[in-house]
Amino acid sequence: MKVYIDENSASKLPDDLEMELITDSESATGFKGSWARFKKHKLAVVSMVMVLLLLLMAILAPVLAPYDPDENRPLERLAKPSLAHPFGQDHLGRDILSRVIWGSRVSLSVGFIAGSLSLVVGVVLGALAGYYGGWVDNVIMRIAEIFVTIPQFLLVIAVVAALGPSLNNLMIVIGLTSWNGYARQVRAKVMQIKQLDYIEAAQALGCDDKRIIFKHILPNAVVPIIVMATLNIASVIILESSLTFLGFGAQPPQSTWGSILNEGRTYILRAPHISTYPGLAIMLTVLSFNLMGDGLRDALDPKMKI
Amino acid sequence: MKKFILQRFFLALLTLLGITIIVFSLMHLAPGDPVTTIAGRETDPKIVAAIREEWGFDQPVVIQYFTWLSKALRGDFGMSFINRMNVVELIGTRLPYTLKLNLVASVIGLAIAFPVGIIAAVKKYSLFDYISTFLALLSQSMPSFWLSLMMISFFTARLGLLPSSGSETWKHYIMPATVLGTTWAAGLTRMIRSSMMEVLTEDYVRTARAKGLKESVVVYRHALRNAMVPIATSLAYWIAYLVTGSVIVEVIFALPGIGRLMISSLNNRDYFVVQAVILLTSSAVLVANLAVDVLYVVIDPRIRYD
Repeated sequence: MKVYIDENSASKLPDDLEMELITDSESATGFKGSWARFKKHKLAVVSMVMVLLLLLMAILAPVLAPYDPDENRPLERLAKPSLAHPFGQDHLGRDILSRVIWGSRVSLSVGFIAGSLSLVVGVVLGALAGYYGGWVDNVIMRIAEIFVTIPQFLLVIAVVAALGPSLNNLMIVIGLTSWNGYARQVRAKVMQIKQLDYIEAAQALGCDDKRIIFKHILPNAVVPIIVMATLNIASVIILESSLTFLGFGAQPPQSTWGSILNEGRTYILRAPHISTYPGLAIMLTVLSFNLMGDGLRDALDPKMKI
Repeated sequence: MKKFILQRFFLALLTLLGITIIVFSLMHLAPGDPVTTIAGRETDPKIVAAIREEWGFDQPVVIQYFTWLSKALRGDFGMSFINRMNVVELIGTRLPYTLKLNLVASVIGLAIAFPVGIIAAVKKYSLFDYISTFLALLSQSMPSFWLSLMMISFFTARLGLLPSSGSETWKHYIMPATVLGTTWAAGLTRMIRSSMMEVLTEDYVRTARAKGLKESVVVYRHALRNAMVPIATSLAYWIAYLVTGSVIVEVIFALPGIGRLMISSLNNRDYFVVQAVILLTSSAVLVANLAVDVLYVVIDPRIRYD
């Protein structure tokens, strides 16, 4: 049996009409309403606190780390977790807790730097495609299509390997290959907004395109951008740690969570604790960003789909 | 409809062209003369000269590209001088391992994602829903290399149940396929849950229930069929997901598949192999996307194209 769906059903009602129908505080607009909705998400609030704590940990690494992360203690190699070394010691006798704390600096900065790069590229390309349409849109969306089709992991790993494995190369390549989602979201939003009357008014007043795009259109796309950025940081951190694990990211002596795991892999049968804790750190960080992104989406724009 | 399929086909060809340009450029990103890089340990000047001649490396880059493209179109991806084997044959010997791994992983992924996603949507906000959604998010936040290492430390080191490396028996596939399958299932479960939840609130589902249809008919015939449209889109990217996961899992569990070949070729700068692997997987993703686009018309007769 086939069922016909009316395309023009309630979901297409103008947003402001729905707003008038629902009046309780949790559907209020603006910062207050969003914050009320976000607070309802217990997990999202917890994860936001987690993200803040992680940032604090990265900033305060020199104070928090109990030992010098690079100090070798050959006599204590592969030592199991103890009171003095809660996460144990690695194959050179280095304190893993200190290494995990210091590693958070690199992993989080990669998340933010590569994430910001993809955000800028994606927002600019998406805005151009949405605003100008026509061949500009066609060219940009074709390029986006190419980057969606080539498995990102393979592309990043191949380009980084060709350029020479390093953290900087890794960040740049990740940033330049993960702008797709932003471009699509921003493009859709820009196309929707540029038809509104106030944009026509701005054009009639003689605003140039740059001002219209950045001052009048893009502020409307801030919500999906924030949500995407949060989720994007999570995926960048996983990508970075996977590539570093395979040897294509940070090179020693620089250490990230991925590289501690890479070193621990050799000793997985004898000393699994080396790999356990940095992995937990990655998982906790990624989970926090993911949950926070989900919470933000539900709070700021429940109808958004990512 | 015929016009739509033709148009999609044309766009896919355009995307493929873009992919070939990127894949071809990889070789030129690396510093140094590509010919000596490709020749690897082969230092005989006669052979090096022959490669230069055959692939037009003495010609301008544009000509090189077309030489490479025309060979690739005829199925000639060159020689792997490291493995002393034709690239296509080399991939042929490795592909069965990856296919076997991915087949088992896909079965595991589908067997988890569909029942869990559907039940979570039907019983939304129940305990089952909360637990399964959280587990899915947890699994999505878990780096697959870490999960692999933890499984090895438990099932191999502690219990001595499963082998940690190799491909000789079916037991060797259990851990890698489980890691790959569950990681993929996590994203798919969330996707299925959210599309099902959306469809289940539609008027036609209420109508079907009001008619007194059995719940199973409502869920599977009325809801699931309509929810399949977005689900099918995400299934199209399943190849990209699995290929990415295969790389990590094959390296850790020492399965001699395509993923491991890719990494060893990158380490040896064996670019003909890298090019062929990326082009092959990207084409597979492209074909899957094209197939889904065309299948939409079958799944959802309402979709009209202009």
